[in-house]
Amino acid sequence: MNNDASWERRTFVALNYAVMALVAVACLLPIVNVLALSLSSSAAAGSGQVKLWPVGFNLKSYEFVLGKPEFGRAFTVSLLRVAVGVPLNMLLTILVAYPLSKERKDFRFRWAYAWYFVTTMLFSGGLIPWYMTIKMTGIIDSFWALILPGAVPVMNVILLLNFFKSLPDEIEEAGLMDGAGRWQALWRIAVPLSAPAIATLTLFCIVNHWNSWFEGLILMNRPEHYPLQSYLQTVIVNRDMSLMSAVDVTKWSMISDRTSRAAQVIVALLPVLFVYPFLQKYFAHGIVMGSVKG
Amino acid sequence: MRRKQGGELPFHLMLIPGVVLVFIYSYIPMAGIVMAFKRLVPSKGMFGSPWVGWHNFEYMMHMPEISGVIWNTAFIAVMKMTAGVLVPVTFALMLNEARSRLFKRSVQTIIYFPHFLSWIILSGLLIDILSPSTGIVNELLRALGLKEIYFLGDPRWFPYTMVLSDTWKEFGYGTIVYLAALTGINPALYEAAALDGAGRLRQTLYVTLPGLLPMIVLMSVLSLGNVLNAGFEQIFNLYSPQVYRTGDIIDTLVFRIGLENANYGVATAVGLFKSVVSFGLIGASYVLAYRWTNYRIF
Amino acid sequence: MKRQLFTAILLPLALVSALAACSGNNGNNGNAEDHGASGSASASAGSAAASGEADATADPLGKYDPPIEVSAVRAISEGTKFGEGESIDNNVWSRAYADQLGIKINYLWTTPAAQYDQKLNIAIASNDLPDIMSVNAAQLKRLVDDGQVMDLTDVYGKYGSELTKKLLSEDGGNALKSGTFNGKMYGIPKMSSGLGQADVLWVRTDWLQKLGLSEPKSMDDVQKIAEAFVKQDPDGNGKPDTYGLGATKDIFGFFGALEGFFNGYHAYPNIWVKAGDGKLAYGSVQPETKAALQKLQEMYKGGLIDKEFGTKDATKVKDAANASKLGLFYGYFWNAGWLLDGKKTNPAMEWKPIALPSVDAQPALAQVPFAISTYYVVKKDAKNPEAAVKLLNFDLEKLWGKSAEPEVYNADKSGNAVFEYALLYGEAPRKNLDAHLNVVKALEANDPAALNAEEKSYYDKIVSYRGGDVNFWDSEKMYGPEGSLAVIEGYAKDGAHTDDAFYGAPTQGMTDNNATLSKLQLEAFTRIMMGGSIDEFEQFVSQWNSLGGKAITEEVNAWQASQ
Repeated sequence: MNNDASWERRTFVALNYAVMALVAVACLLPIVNVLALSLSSSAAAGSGQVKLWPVGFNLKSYEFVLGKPEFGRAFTVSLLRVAVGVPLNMLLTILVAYPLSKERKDFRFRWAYAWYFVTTMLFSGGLIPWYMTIKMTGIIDSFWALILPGAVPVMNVILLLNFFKSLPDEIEEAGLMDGAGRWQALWRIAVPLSAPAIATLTLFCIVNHWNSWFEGLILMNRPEHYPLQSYLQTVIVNRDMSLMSAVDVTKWSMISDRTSRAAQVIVALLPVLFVYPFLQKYFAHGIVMGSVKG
Repeated sequence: MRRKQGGELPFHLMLIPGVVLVFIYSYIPMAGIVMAFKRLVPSKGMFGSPWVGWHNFEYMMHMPEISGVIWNTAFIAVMKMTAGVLVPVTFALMLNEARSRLFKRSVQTIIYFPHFLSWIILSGLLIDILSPSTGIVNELLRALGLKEIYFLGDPRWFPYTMVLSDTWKEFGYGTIVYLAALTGINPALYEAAALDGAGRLRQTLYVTLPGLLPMIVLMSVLSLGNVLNAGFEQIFNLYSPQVYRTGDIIDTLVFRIGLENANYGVATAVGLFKSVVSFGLIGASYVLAYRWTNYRIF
Repeated sequence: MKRQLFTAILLPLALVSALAACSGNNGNNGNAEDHGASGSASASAGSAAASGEADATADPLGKYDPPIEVSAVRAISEGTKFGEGESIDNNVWSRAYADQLGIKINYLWTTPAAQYDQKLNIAIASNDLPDIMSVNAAQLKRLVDDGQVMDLTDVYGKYGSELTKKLLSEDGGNALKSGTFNGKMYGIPKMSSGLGQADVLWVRTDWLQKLGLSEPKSMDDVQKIAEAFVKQDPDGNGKPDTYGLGATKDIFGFFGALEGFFNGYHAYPNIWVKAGDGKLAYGSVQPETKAALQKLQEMYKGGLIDKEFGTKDATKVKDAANASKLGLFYGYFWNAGWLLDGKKTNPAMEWKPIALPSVDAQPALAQVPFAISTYYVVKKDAKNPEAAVKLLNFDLEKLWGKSAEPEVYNADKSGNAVFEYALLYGEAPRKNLDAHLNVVKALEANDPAALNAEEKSYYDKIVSYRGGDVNFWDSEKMYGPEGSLAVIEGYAKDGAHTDDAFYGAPTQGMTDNNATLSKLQLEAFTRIMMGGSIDEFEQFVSQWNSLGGKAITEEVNAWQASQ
């Protein structure tokens, strides 16, 4: 690391930081705009005056959003969904990815299983059969409708199986020689060694459960059962104003309120912001190799 | 001698729960693919509905300008796929060079932000930011002495605008994957390279990049599955009649047909068409990747 | 033809309801008890699709004893509030249904309004229907074609109350006809007003004054005002940052929509109009439309329309208006509500809704789409189809009838819009116009005593606005003496409107080709407006015809001949 002193190196480092900082700013600005909107007066927001700084600063929209019973209810559903759905996702991902990461000589049927799962990424029967199947299994309008149909995230399985594959064979071989079974090899060796990958996939699962709104709208029979993003969708989505009658106008002024929509977006974003830094601990470099050497 | 404990039985056991769930919630609904060859009469049910042969496909293929629409879709999708691999890899490498942990972590977090904003919200912002007269991007262009660009209203620019804004929104996700892959590279390799006198750049080229290659190949192959998905939500919220020529894609077209007539037959037929194309591409590249690199991606 | 249908179907119905009305006079609670037994008797008779025309026992508001349960699905508008401990299953309406009609409604699902169509489409496709649901015209047609819904002709004839029948035929019978297929009534129209979807011209009067201009009386004035608003810096900030005439990327719509502009040239895009030969023709392909497009092109070239209108939706145009960048646009009467934010930030801002100016001496006629977009239907094998009609009778009676109790059923003490909880709904096509007239009268007399609850709320708001509360400025602009409804009332009084002449179910050609045709039209109109050759219009017309428009025109004329 002592060759870093050359001026090329320093220019490169400076440029590198500068470019990354610029990109980060570009990614941050929209959030800043939404944040500013959420803190502005509704009249200022409704006449397009708010850019990056609140106009007519106030916290009313947060009081409004957090005070709504629907919001709290939907928030709870989403938290529960993450709490149950993510561990289940991860358990199944690991259980499926591990056998599929084996070579053909160790697991003769791996190709059949692999294509069995990959096919589902490519072919689907469409919305109606999907809905009818879920209805048939009796979980429509229940919490499980948000959990079970997507319980095996095939994309994540493929990512994880590639991480498993990249693990040095010797460690596992050694373990098996010591008399450990397949199950022990999985839980005691493969999983701990893939901590960064598992942390990453956990993040994806959390985000996926937290962000998805479509299933909630279709599979729940009552708005009270919606998870947070489904509920948000109903307040954010552009409404077809052409069908409005005069009586809707008064209601319209309430739901059109951009500031509270912005506040809802910000509030929905917060939990993920809390989780991310925590998971980042596991993204750290060199966990795998450290243990190889040890 | 190398007979291991347990044999293959534990593998089958591990797979059972996943196989069962996928069978129920993915394979049973796949029976609905027959709708591509039927006209749905709800009272008769999916299987009792009359067969119409290839009619649904013909309806689609006889839409005026369908070839243009398919071309737009593939053009936008392929560019998105390319950018979707290049940008995250580059950015992951750049982040890898950053020494400050705080900076690294903050940037990593921040670039994931746009992923959380829906296109409905972003479209309103983009229309402002990209406006030729008042948008900040064009003000910058003017300051640099360039002509302003009507990013969302000029049919020549529209597809690129879609690619750029989509990449901006989603590259944080890809970057995280590659960063995770970076952790799998053996540090001993770097040490050896350093001993051989390789500088940072050459270490990156000869150690880091090859180390990432399997993941790059994997992500590229998987993205082929999207060759006919150009991003409905994004384009639907951003396109307008003046850019239909280059911006109308299969999904927006199907959506507009659906508005007039909830025609499940046609929608299923289009879905099946897309699936078959993706399946062909992924299958072919799976085989090619195995031939060239001797690596099975799944 | 229309007359014939009226006498054939509606007259007998009127007789029935006259009989029924006699028993209805006992007052509601008494009525429910007195006729409990006969109500249930008639219920069973009704479910057997009784053949008797004037069955005296058919009581429009009779109570079921023992109570029955019907299933339903519904949208709940965003923003609907319930009182403490109440829900859609337990509120003033659901209790009234149970107590007074003996009907318990079991909602299979409810959904926010924006999601209703999608969820209903899934329910229809998977044949998983409730007894009662509301559907749009395309869904109605599919359900009828597939035989998933019930013929309600008899049930409506027998159980429809006098008020219901009066309200549903108030538009001259077209609403009922639109829900009728081969002489059988499958869809009960949800009554509303088509005139509410006619354009007025919204103009910034404080800008007019500042620039010394008078209100627009002709299309030339519209152009002149647009030009002045662009070039003479009406907002006085020294920057050329104002637009002339508002337009959106959809060209047509409800805010910054150009229908009103086309109407000024006697063109009626997107609706069917009677041509000189008595046949129906599509307004978009008529020569008048070309003339209007040519003018729009000229205005666009002259910078009188936002150069970037092609990427902006109604919300963006609204923002421009509220930010004092736009002072002239066409839109619906309720657009005042969208201008309120601007008024609040800039109290000097003043808008006035104006009747559509015309290009020549002939007055402009505002185009009016067909008013009915929603129908109530009953599932094919529902046990008690008459319950739907009874519920509608009850709802209309409690909202608009003689025994209406607005303080119970319309809005409660805490201001919740409880009328939203009713399963079926309908309002007189003239409801808003009458509200406007009544409010104006009350304002003049300074006496709101004669107003109903809804009208009273408008009255109160206007009074507070006049007392200095700018939050209710929009009520003044809609219901006040110079409000947008006064303009619409003018259209109604002078017959200054052109109604969509086609109100049947979507034809086969429409379901097959409308997606293509509307894309074609939008692209062509946008291109022409933005400076393409005006001769493209002829090309558009011939393409429109060859891509299915001609066939649709034939279908529409066949429909007309069958009326």
